[in-house]
Amino acid sequence: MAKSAEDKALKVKKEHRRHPINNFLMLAVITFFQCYCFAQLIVENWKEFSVNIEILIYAAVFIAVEWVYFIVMRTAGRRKNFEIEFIAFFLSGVGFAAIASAKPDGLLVQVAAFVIGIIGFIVLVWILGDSERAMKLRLPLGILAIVILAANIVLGTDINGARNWIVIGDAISLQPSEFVKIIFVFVGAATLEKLQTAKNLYVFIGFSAACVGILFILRDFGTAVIFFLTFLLIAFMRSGDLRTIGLALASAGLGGWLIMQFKDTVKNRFATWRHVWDEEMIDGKGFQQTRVLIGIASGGLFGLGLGKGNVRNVIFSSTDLIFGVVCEEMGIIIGLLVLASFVLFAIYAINNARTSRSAFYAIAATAAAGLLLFQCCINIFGVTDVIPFTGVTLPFLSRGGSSMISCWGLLAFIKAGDARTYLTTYGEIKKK
Amino acid sequence: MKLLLYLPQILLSIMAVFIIVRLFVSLFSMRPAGRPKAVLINRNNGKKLAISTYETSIGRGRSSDIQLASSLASRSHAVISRRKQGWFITDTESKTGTFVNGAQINEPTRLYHDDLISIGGVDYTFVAPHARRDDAESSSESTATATGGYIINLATNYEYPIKNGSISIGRGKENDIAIDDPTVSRKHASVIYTDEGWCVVDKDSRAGVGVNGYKVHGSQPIEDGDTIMINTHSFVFKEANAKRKRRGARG
Repeated sequence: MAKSAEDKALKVKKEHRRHPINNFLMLAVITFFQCYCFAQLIVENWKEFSVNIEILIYAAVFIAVEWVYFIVMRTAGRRKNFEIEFIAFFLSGVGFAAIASAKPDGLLVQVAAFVIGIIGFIVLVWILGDSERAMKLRLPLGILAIVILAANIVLGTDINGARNWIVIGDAISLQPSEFVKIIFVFVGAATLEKLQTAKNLYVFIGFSAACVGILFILRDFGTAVIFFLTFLLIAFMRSGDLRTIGLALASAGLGGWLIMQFKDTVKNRFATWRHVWDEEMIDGKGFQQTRVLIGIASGGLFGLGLGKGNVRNVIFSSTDLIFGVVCEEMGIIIGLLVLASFVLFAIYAINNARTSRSAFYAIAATAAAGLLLFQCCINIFGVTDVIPFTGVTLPFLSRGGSSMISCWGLLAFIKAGDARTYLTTYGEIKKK
Repeated sequence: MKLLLYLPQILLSIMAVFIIVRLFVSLFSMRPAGRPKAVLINRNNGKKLAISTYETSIGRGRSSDIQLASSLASRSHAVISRRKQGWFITDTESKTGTFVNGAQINEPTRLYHDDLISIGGVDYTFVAPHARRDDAESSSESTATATGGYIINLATNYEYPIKNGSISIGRGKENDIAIDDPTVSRKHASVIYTDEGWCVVDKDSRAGVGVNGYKVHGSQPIEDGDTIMINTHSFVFKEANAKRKRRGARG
């Protein structure tokens, strides 16, 4: 008996070596990292006083928002675990520094989207706290997603070859398909969770087909591929029986049919792929990919320093090519850490599935992490010519309000999948 | 000299690696260890089927968590789920239906210890000692003591009653359980009643808190009889209802 107690004590002692992170200290390190990046940039651009003031102000707001979120959630929200948010802060900070280097006048939108994204994140985490409330929202949100996408056909503006933008006035332009990503994951997880029945599978097939179909009509090929892959992932979460095989067959048939319908668009994408170094491509259709590859090579392991790169001068450097800017100016180690973050998010969501309180949370977290990973891979492998290049943003890093808000929305599913999120910390006493 | 030029960039990369590695290590290792525990026992052959997840699907299909051999069972027949109110079983539109204690169910039905579940012509006994019917009834009748319980110091056998669903443990005299030991933090831990049931919360103590020999990361659900360890001090948690029941049996 005594030995058993001793064994237990030893086990606890051994476990004690693995301390949880000190949230305050970790956020301080992240803040220092971000300040270090901004300081580098300001030193490099010391002659451009007005630009530096702009960077300083937005950087201060950006960092202040992170601390306000942490302090409010720690005190009023009684939350103790912030790893997921801190990783997003880190990624957003890397993106913010790269945007400040490539396109400083885009910082205002980025900061505003960062704030809206965090507010959306808090609201969504609260909504997901009650799975029954989430189930009730499934149908209205599904309809809303179709309406938003269909409105693009009528109201959409053609920007950079895709009719996926809605322009309001002179100042605001939105990309509704970014918001539909959140709804897509939400509806998919709520429709296919364990407690739902067979007929819901067909509802989800119909919903997915409608979303992907409209995206193809809008010629938003990259987002359509992301939706399609996420659809397969959600279907896979229910794998192992005949219905899933039917689901996969239906999706493959749908994908094949759509590619046949739009083969000219697809053919154009493939024409450049693996030929960017050809003489006729290097300064033409392969210009962006070759400049990114040269930038990655010249940046080396540790980068040239913020504000010292050349990729930032290439068109779309702050959006589609942000990975090139990060690798060239901050080094490939940080570039790979960005990719690793999304891979680890996906592994974490899959690992958590077994201990999840409901299949809804497990499917939603895995689908959201998968969607972010697909998007990250399509962007990074696209700009490095591993796969055909298509205009998809790099989550949390690329400039773009809709994209930033969408990323925080998707992050809420991963946060909801963390069993600790709704495990009340201190003080919240409820009577039976 | 060249290294010095690269030093700011190297420092940036080192910081980035530290941040990402530390955050993901923490994310992967700091999960709550509490798991639901129940068993289905086949009444024909005595075979035990463990239920260790919050939602467990039962059916003939390969995607089910518990696969049944009976040809009368549907591919996806029913789901047993653990919610904060207790255990529930839901029939997922099976062909032959799901029965609890002989009655066919059409909506999520609460399960209690020793309930008889019939799926595809096979009878199972639902075993979950912490979900007894009389416990649930007495707790709903007596809401005043529902959030009560006891913490027993194993060294002294002294019982500390939990009042209003909360009790604090630490070195400070203001704690309900004050431990005069310099290795114990001033505000070390607390046991509280939450949405998820009873939980032990580590209040960022230096040495940490253990439950049944395992480290608590933040907070963790606990059940009647669990051992809470504060360094070398061990305590046993007892729920009020469970205690009343034992006294009744004795007396």
